[in-house]
Amino acid sequence: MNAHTDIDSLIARYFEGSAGKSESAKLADLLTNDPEVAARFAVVSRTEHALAHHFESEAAAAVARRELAETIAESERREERIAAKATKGETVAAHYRKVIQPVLRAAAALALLALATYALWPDAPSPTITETPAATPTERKNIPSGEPVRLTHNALSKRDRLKQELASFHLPQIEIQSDSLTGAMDLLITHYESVAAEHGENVASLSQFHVAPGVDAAAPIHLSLRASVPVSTALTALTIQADARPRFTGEGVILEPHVVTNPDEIISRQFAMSESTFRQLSQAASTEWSEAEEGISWDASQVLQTFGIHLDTDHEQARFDPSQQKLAVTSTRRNAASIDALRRAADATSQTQIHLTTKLVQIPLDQENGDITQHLPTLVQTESLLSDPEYQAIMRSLSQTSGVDIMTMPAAVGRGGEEISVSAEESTDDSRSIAGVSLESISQNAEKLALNASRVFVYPTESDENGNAPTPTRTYEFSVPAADTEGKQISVITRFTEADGETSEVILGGLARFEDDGLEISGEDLPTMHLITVEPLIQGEGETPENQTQQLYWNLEADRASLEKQLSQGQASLQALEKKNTTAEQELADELKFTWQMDGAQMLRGYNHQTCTQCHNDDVDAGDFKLGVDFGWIKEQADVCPFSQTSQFTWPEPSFTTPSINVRTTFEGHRIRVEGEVRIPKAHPPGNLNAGSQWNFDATQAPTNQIQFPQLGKLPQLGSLFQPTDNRDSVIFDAVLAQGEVLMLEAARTENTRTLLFLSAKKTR
Amino acid sequence: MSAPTPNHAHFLRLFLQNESDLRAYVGALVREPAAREDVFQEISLTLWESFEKYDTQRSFGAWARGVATNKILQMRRANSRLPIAFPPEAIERVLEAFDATEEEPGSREEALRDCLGTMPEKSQSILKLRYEDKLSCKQVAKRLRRSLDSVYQHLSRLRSQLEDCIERRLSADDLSTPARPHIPTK
Repeated sequence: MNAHTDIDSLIARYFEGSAGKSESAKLADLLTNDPEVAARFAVVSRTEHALAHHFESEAAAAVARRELAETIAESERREERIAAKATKGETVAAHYRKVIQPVLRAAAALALLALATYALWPDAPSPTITETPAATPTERKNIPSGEPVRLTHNALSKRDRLKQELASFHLPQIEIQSDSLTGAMDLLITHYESVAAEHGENVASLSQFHVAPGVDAAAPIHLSLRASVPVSTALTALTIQADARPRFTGEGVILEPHVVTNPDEIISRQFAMSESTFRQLSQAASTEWSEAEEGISWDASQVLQTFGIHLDTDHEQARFDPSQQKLAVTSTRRNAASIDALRRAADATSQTQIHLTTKLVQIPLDQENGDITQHLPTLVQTESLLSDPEYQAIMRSLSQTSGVDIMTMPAAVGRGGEEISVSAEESTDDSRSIAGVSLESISQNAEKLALNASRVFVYPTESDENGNAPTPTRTYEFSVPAADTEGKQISVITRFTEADGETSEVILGGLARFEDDGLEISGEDLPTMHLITVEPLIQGEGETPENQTQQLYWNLEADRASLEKQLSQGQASLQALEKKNTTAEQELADELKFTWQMDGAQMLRGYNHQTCTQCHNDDVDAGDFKLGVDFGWIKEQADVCPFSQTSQFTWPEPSFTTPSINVRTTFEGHRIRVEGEVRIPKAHPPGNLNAGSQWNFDATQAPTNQIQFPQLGKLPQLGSLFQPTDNRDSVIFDAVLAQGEVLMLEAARTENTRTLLFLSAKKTR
Repeated sequence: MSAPTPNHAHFLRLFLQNESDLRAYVGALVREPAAREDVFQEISLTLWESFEKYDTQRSFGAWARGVATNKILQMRRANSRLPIAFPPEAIERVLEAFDATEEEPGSREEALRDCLGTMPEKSQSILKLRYEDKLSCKQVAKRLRRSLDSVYQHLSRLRSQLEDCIERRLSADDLSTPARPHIPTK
């Protein structure tokens, strides 16, 4: 090895960094004393630097070329997607013009024909436009000696239940990286199901999701959330990235286009948002705000970016003001709409809570002078809304009255739509009464609180009127085959074969109609069915004008539902083509007006209701129902039951002294199954209806004629155990309670005492 | 941002022309990458601040190296931990050697690119491992399942070939185009 090679080797190790201290010292010595070595060192240094620089540049160029190729490929894919969407949209638009448009016009003509038929019908009663009864989670029962008392329970539609479940189920950290919206949805659902399985919880049926036309199902999605968020918030964040939004149905979720007019226009908006909601979103975005930052607004752009909303910081900004509980946004219309959707999804999980406080006051009844409260200056006799000064005055008066027992009851917290079990219970040796209070839906922004207060009287269950131990109730079960009942009246005919061999019938039933959310059972027409003669709705030959009109109405209803479905599909596609096809958009707007005009058919439904009400008022005689059942209560029932769910009602409350009917309706797709049992107390069979009576139910037979209700003999005198003094004891009380107001209810009354319930509520979070 | 003054523009032009050679010089003295970058930043700032003192009759590269040498020695005095392997005397000799072998700015990189293009792929790949992937010779030897000595020799041979090639190309350029004087105009 020559000297030159040795020097090169030494220099090479120096540049590699592997030269030891002695070698470095040797090189330094050579450099100092030998100009040739220094010259060689300079040449090698330049070559080393040139080589390193060259290969670094080559590596950087390779990365740049790869990124450029990816950008070009993505651009080409995007162009292909746009071309495919355009082709699809043109196909839908053509289908719309060829098929849907003529059908809609025909449907409108049919609607006009129906109205004309109705108008020309000589015996037609005056039409009354009546709104379809809203689904309410309530049912009524009667007690023999009073007005109806309302029992409240939660009966969410399947859609609302799905929304609630997704809003209340929190997922831990989420990391979704997908090259398509559908892929991202699959990942989210898989994650959701696995987390639910880990915790042993049932999952909502999110697997039924559908991407509507006009939504870019191939949009790449990236979602990385570092703290727990509800499934609904994650779902919204996914859809935002594909310019879509989720719409919940009874069967699952539809991802539909989120169409925004002038999407790029910059606007300023303020969104109400609680600090807790903002903090929840911030934590998911791994952004924390310290207490020291209180009093100033917080930059929300990073948080929003995590959820797929990208703000161009040169022109757009979003700041959350904790003191105002507002998110101020200056951004494009599209981003503002996305922020609004995200806010709503997140806010649904931090719903306002209601804090109820109650006070129970027991007032002795003076046997000689009656109710001592009558002598109190400002005390209202029964249910009242009191202002705070009035309430204070009453409490002062009561506290100064001898014999008055004031008890404070535990407070309760609940959310809107939930039943809050606040009750005042009064027990004596032979009776027990409970006043319950429930809350109906509460708007987040409402200043006032809607309360639905009710009283439930509970009769003794520990012993019967003679002090005997309770005896088992004999149950007669019945089951009927499922019947195709969509859009038709359904009924359950109960045939009583009494001990003396006489047979009579009672009919339970209602109107079944399929809605988006499930099967709606309305009892509106029940009195019609069993109190007046009703021909079967659908007949062959010999149809009456009424039936023809009804038939036409149902046909139109079915057509309308089908057309609306087609229309919504066409509309979604047309919206995607908004810029390309303004002509089609105008035509769509025109046709929407057509469908609105079809609501004239509602008049027919109004007629139906009026008949029902009329019959009920004219013909019902509660005295005929000695079984203790006033079927008039069903008139008030309107419930929406999801498919494959069971709706059950029992009347009256099961007890050992009262016969009761328990009916369950199960919806299986487009069929309904009715089953149930009649409970007859063995110790006290009502009249001549004994334990051996035969009960047969037939759900498939339509009612035919007026039903005779035999006198079934005496019933146990429930009133003898607890006798309400007048109708006031069973009044339903609906109140709108403002902050600071107090609701006063008479909770119970016995021979010796009167019990008042004072209730106040405030919103909290 | 305001437009650069003529002085700015002049400095920038000269600096960019000579940046690579200046980096080679600084890199020869300071081997630790982070420290090298810090030193180079300091030198760049000093060059900018003292550009008024630059004698345009001299080579900018030589002036810049002189300023860089003073800065390096100053920084070394201030911070004894600065990773510089050579004593001031050796640094002075290296400076002289760089001045004596100064080349046309950018010519060596250009010649290297051409020379690399003529090398066999196998040779290029070993150079890539060493200079692109920044592997030590030991790591290269392990990767290629060869002895450390053979890798040293192979790399040394490749560098020699490249230097010969570069020299040939630079000489050819000198013959074909007269060398431009390194006298920048102000």
